[in-house]
Amino acid sequence: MNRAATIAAVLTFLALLCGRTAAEQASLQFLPPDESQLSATGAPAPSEPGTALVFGRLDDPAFSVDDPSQVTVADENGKQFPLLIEEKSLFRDLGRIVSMRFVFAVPEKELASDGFQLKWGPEVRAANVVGEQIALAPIARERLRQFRWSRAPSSAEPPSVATIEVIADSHAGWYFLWYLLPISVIFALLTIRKIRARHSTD
Amino acid sequence: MWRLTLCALLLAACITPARAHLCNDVFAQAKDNLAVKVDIRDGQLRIAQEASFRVYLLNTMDRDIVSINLEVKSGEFTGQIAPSSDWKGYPLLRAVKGGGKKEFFTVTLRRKPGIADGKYKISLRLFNGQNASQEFKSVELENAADIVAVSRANEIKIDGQAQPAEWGNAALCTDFYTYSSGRGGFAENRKADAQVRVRMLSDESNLYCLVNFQGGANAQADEALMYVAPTSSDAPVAITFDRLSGKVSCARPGVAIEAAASPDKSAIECRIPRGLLGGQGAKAFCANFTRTLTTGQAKTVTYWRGNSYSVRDPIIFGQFRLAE
Repeated sequence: MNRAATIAAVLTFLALLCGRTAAEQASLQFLPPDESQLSATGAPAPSEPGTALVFGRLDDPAFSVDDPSQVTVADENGKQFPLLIEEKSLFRDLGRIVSMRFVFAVPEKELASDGFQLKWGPEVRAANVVGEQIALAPIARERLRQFRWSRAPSSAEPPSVATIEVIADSHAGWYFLWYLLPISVIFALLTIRKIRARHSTD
Repeated sequence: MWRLTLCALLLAACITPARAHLCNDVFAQAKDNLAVKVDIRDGQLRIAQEASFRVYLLNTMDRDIVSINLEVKSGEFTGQIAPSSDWKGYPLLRAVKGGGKKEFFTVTLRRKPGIADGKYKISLRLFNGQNASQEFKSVELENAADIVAVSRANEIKIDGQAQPAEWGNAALCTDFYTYSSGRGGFAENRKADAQVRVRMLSDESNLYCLVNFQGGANAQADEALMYVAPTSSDAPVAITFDRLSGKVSCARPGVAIEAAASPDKSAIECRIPRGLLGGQGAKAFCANFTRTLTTGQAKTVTYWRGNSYSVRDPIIFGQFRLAE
């Protein structure tokens, strides 16, 4: 019995460990840029001929990392693209980074690929650079893209969103009787007590 | 004769925009600004043979929807849909902007023969009544209920020093949106650049809130408003979190709220008496949040659920279930 309990505890610990350390990931889509996000102020983002600049803000409710190097973008072959992260955009909540704006360069011919993934977590290590402020001048729009991510909910997330259950239950009509059970028990105990009291006075 | 024709054409041109037209922008707006909420309070719908619930709709778009209809998508149940008897002009769903109000369908689910006892998922599909292939939106029942579980507080200190040990298991509300003119000239929701992260916990007597503000470094004014109502039928009461002063105040007189701001004034912790949420026995309440950031001449309002029309009606709010 003790052995079984130990094995169960170890398995639970390992499951929790896996839940904590598994990298979160999301699929990336590249869209035409939103004009309001373009600005000529700050250090210009580096761009080379034949590459496009992809930018955006990552603030998924499930996103949180301790360090800017724990975020990366990779293509379908696992090749990482270094990120230039805007320092002033880093937003921390309870000591962890929960929002950041960044830009990265992608070969123009790969823009149509749908295999780009965004990954973050404690085991991710990326050679990212943090710059004070990034400028994305509204020139060469054809070489600018804004990213959007989509992510399947992770089982490791805290379940703060409750669920509605639709339950087919043949005995649903009797279900409310459970609510009557505690009061019935109290009445029964009171009745027994009264009967006993009567007997003892007799 | 040509004058008469011209008058008729002009009249038609005036009437057409007055009634909503079902072009693409209606469907684009409906995705974010057609609020759909179900009224299933205990978090479960238990069905022996049949059971009913309400699906509330509030049109916070910039125009009416001429014809709206609802269907239930389920392999295990058949759904009978009936619009409420006081829904004037059904199937027209008027925009709140033009005097519309919340309307509802009553959905009666009937179990199909041979369906075993068990838990099932169903979804709701809202579509154009004049062309069933045109869909406004499709929502899972549990998303339409929008229930957030508020965990139990564990020795929270209102000192402006929020710690992960205190707030780590708190319910989190974030993903604020702005509501403004979009690419096609119609109103659309866009994710806010400056987010707010609201965390909540509760005990027998109080609701604890931690409001963390992103950005607003050069703001002249920066306020988050929390609208609370004990139930979706009650009038909401506003609680103001003023980031710059670090103070929290309630629109209802006599409600004492203890608050403390972080040293850099980016976050505020506070303790709100549960009397405001319907008393100590209340198991749930409704809430919504907005943030108004004023920088120079620019004033930006962002919303957690819906837009400016949504903060007045708690049916659109999230439902927060308090820990026992």
